[in-house]
Amino acid sequence: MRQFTEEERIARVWDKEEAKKVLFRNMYYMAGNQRQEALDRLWVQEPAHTATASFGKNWGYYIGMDEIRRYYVDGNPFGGKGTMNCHPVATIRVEEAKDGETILCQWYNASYETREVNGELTALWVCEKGNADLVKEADGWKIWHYFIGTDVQNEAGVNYADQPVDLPDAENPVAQEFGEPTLKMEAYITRYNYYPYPAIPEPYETYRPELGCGPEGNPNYKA
Amino acid sequence: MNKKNMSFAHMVDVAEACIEVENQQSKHAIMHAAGLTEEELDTMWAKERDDLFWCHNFGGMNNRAEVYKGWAGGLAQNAHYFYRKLLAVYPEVEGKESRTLMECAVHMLGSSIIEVADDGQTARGSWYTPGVIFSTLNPEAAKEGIWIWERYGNDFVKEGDEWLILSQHVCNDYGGAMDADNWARVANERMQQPPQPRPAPEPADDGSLPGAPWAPLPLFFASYSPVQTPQNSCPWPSPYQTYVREHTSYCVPFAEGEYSITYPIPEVPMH
Repeated sequence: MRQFTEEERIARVWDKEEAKKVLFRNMYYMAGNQRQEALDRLWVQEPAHTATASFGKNWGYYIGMDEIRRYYVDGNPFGGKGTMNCHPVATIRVEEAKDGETILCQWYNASYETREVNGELTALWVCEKGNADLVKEADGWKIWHYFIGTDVQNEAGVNYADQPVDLPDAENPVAQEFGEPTLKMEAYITRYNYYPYPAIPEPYETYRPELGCGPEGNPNYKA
Repeated sequence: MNKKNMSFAHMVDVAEACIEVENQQSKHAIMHAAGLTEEELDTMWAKERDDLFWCHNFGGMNNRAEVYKGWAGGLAQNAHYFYRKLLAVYPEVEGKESRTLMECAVHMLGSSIIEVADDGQTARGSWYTPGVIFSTLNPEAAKEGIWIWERYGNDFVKEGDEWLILSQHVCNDYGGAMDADNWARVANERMQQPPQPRPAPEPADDGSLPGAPWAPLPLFFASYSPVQTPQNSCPWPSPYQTYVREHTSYCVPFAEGEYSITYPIPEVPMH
């Protein structure tokens, strides 16, 4: 097993704290409706990473920064009067590769949103599992792959038990917002409760796609 | 610990330990969401000692065998019963992991306070957890969802290079239907007019029944009540020199003065 010096060990602690701050800032940018700033400052910038960057949800992945911008900025449903959201990062776990080049993160959060649904401002509770693969670029840790598995979306003040078991995507505002991703696929399944993708980050030597939360790590991915 | 008295090497140990303890507790949250309690106990809890501890409002378990039986075993028995009932309504679930099918209980973690012992061999952590329990498929062919607010107090022990869980103290403050419960009003109504006792569960098709709560140690804590003052049910850890089960741990008894329940603890039958 690789042994680290004290200086290396404290540098790795620092890396993990910096990685958490990247995800926390991303949440604040989202809540502040500063999505373009989030992409410019927190996401990968180097060509070696931008082409393979991905943003996934239950229904597939946007792949490449141009596609991510098409969804996250151009398709942003927030910003109008009365809209808001907060997806605080909690329950976080961070694992840095032994080679120090990437960090795998996982978190779980209860969130709220107020958005227009069928022309009416609608308040939602959202429970979701988040994962991100961060990669070290010249100016720090950057989001490379990002995946949100939405377990629950429920209108505030409405009993979740009244929501149909087989809720059509057309009646699910989170699914509607996700639009038409680059790669449409069944990426996250909630019918049987906990879904094991993306995996819990575990100690690892170096990044491999199957460890991360990009499309190639998804068991339903077909090349 | 006062950092003026710490060497650089000691600071590195403590900083590393805090991250690893937080990581471990977050992994616990996800393993619990998956229902994989046995796997969690096998891989994430202390391996070189048997004085594990787990408790919830209804009581506690004071060693490895009791924790496996009362916590993991109770959940597994409930899950099996649920699975048999579910199978009759949704044949598609045949062969799926029953513990995952029963529910997804996610106890999100916030407000952590982590203290590492001066001797570096143990750590203690407390969290507040706004949580949610949901399930998509149920024998009643309807979704279920509740909010659940709890406190965690955990002890961790270092074995080799690993930080492992030694004990977990869970105090439930409140749970109620998502998103249709005014907990104060509901609790008050239940006090005015206690609900009828639930009918005994019907055996599943294989004769199985859900498990009754099993805990050799007495009741620890009561959830929200209109006649109960606020409780410091799970005191955060203070700096400490070394782990002493009776004094500096989340295993009962708490240190004198820390355990601050102010109402008479009712006796409950234990099975």
